[in-house]
Amino acid sequence: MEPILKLEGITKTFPGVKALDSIDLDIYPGEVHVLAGENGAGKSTLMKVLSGVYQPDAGTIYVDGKATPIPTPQAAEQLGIRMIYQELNLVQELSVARNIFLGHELYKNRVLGLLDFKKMEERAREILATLNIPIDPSVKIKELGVGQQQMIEIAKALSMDARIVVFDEPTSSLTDNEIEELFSLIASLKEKNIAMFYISHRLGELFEIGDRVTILRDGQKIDTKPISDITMDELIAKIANRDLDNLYPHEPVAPGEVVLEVKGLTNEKCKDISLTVRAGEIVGLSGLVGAGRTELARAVFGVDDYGAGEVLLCGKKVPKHNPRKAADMGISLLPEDRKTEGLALKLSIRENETVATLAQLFKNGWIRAGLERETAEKYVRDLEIATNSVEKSAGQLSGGTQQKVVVAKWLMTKAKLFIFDEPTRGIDVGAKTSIYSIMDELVKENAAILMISSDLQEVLGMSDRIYVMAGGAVQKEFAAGEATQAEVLKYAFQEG
Amino acid sequence: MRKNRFHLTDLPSAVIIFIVVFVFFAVSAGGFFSAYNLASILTQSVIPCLLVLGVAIVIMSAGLDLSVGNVLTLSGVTCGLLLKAGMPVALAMLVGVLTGTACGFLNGFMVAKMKLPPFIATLAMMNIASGLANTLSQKKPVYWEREAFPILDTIGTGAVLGIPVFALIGVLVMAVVIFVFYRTRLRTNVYTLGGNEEVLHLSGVSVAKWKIVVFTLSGLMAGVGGVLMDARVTCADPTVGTGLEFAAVVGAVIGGNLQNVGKGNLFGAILGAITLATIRNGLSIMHMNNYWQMVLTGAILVIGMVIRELFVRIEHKKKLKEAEASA
Amino acid sequence: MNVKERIVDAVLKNALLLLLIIGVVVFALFNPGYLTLSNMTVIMKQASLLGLLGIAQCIIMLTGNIDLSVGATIALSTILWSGMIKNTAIPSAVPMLLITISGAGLGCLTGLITTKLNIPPFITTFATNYAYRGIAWLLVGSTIIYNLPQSFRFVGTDDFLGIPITIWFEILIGAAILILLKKTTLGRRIYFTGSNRKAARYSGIHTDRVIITAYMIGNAIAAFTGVLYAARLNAAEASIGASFSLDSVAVCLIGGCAITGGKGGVWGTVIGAIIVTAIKNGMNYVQVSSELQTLVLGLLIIIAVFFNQQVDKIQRK
Repeated sequence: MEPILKLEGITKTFPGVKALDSIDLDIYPGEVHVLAGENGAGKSTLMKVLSGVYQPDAGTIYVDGKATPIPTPQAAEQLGIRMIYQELNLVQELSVARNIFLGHELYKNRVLGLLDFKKMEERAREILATLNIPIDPSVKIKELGVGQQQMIEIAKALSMDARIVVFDEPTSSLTDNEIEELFSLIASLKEKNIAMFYISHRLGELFEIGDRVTILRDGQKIDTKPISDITMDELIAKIANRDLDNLYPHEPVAPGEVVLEVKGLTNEKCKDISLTVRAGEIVGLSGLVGAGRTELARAVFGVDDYGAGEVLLCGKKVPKHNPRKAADMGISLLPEDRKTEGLALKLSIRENETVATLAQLFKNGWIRAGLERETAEKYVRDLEIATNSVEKSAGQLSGGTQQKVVVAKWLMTKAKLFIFDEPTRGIDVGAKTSIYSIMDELVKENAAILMISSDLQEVLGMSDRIYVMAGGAVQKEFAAGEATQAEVLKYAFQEG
Repeated sequence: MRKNRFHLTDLPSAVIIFIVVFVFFAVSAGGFFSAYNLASILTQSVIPCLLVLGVAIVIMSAGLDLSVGNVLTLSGVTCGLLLKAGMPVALAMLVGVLTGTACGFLNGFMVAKMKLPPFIATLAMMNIASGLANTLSQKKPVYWEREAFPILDTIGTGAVLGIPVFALIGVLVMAVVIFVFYRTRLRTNVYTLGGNEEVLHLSGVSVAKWKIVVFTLSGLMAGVGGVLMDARVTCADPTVGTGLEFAAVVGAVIGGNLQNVGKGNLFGAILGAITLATIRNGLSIMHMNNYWQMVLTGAILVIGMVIRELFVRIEHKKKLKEAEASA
Repeated sequence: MNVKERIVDAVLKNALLLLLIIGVVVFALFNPGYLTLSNMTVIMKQASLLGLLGIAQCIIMLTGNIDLSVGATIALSTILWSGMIKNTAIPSAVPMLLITISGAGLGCLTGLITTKLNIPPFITTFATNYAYRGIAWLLVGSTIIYNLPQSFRFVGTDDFLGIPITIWFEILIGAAILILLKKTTLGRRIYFTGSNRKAARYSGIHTDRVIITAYMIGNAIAAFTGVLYAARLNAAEASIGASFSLDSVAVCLIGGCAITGGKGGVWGTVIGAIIVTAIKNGMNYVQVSSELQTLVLGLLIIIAVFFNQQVDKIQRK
């Protein structure tokens, strides 16, 4: 049997980062080909090349043995390539049926452009039925929960003839039951000879569902093997290729006073959350996407409001919904999305670094340019920020460097509590280690860190204690050394 | 299975505002509540409604069109000049409508292809259309041989079953637009443009094309409005469109469309336009001068938004309570 | 950067100025009367008032907001000022101060409504534009108040050390705002809020306060400029400045402000005002009708903004 798709020598570079380095990959009809690798290893980038979103700088794509460039998402669609992304591409205000048929609506009269709503709803119902998704196609997307929306995303992808389906972290917001349904769906797709790429951090899943696995690391293909020929340890070793110790340079420090205390915090996404972080601790907050971790961080820092509950910093009450106050008291939030929430991309590194400490640095409101530059340069040196000038605009920096600028900003405030939300997402390995070292330094100087991360290895490697959240509530607390990957995952999958 | 829940924010604030305004005038203005007067309000709102529909759709798609007033004027002037030169009515009117459509197309081009922000593109078009209209008309109303085009008189002043002809035409055009909106891809793509442009692109639909469509439609409505206005005032008046764009935007906004980018309500928009016409009518009956109308319009706009904000906060509190209950 | 790149960079950075110079040369070729000292003075005098309005709008636009009511503020300002100066015994600075402070008050109101009630600034200032204009009409109807006492009017008509006082004001206020924006923490917060409001909030900036302050300063300047207008024109009426709101926005856009905020500054705005005035004046000299001038203004906006965007793109690479 010939592979339905073959990628040869695919290379893709972005400013500062070589995302894909001469990757070879193929897939057969009816095969579930699993892609494994850390954050930033290149899995999503590779799939974006496949789906026509990115163009490779070098390399060839062969479909059915013929060299076929894929210049646009439409071209990919026409080839029968379907993407199911992590970020939901649904229109909230439209119904399920209209979303499924977005871009390829059914017409009553093609010439006049009149849509056939009834037929679309019927067809949508059929599709949903074959996939065992118990959702009414006339319901608006905004009424559905995240897990359900993901199912609709899948239904949408399968609504037209699919030959190759790519699942990018499909289970991150699904319940146990929904995952079972997804897997039986995948099984039925196998029978229809549909080729599937499956990306997931949940290594256990890969063994359950995969036929072959390809491991990517730092943009390079490390290996491709049948799943039966590899063990979990071997897989982890290939993914990380490092002793866990070296990768995560964290030496536990004797914890001091309680710095952060959250009591019974409740809002739309957070259900009665209580936790503590002590000085000198790195507390990991683990869980699936949608578990409510970022929402908790935002509520604590004050960007979001909350109803019941309270937040105490070193025993003092932190006012709700007031980020300025929280920052002044010593809380800092390094947000999930550094580009839209952490930095003003058009402004310089210097301006971004000093924005949170303007009042402290320049007491009478007058900016002293010399002082500002010196301070900014000092932090650039200390954090080894890769730039030859603090005047460079933040938008021109690589992900890792940008993250360091955000860290610098909060370091300058001499914060007591650092809340890192996905600190190393989308960052290359060198910068990651660098950031881990910074975190280690921080707790050595008695700061407290609450680290939200979806990277299980990272959580296990860096945390002194771990809270696992699911469904908006804290499911379990692990003391140092107690947690294993399997254990954490177990609690992460609970429903709230 | 979950049915669509009723959200307070789905209700166009236009309904509440309209009721308040209507009741106020019904009570305070003698003669307001007569059949004749109410009919007159409706006829006065036909042309603003045409504009409001176009602008509302643009706003729903996360855009803005400030040029409709002057584009209307330009269309009217073009048509008027052609009539004056003796061109047959149907052709002149067609060219007038096409003028508006072309302006709308240019707006769309600037936004979609030149990537200019809609505010700037339509602001510039506003100036350009105004400049052209005034130059072509020499800043004076354009008259044509009225006897040569009796059909215009019928449209402008004639009536069928008591309803003015131009109003019927206007309503017909609106009906077509509403029909097309709800029954073709227009609504889907407009909502998607407004809610999440990227999704449209990923679904293989041309974002640029539909942005152009939306602006062209708005220009088309202005063109139709301009031609109908010519018929109604029996000349092409270069001052007639000034300020109409703001009335259109206000109407669309009262109809709840600005806050509802990515969703929205054509009927709310229409109601918004009617509300504005009601205010004007009521105030003139009460012999309060136009200046009060300006102040009142401003105040109502703010009140409308405050009501909407209120709804949003109520919904938010409801959600918080639900979360606490299930925690 | 090699020599060629340096030249290109310099051209891009100063494109507006070059455009101005080219424009002036072209008009002078058509009509030498354009390039006389007296005409240049007229242009600079007119541009100074437009420039002040532009600066007022610029501060607000930098935060990512907009104020469509500056025209109405001017009208109200002229009317109130003309009422205050009836008593010629008062020192001339007092009414000016009072008007400026009232302007700040109006700005505070606008800022509060926009931020606390979560109403888009476009709508709020649209509404206030109507409201203030309406109030102006209600106050004086269609009367034009004229024959204002010269003892107060001198600010708009006279020179000081050879330079018209209005230009002095433009220089002083422009310099003050320039310093505010570039050298104070408030200015930094303004730029940051406009550049990325979310990140600004996440960094602890009270974006609401920053925006309200911007509106207060902007409207104060606008009100002050209204006084200068009344002084210069020797008239106060309710219909003054109907086009000023959009003109001030146009001037800012031409001068390089981004409609979304975070970009632009005093220099660009002042040059923008000079460009617009110089071109309008030039078109008068070449006998272009005022209607066509509006058209040209529209085209100018498109060209300038498109150009600014392209420059931005290139500089980003």
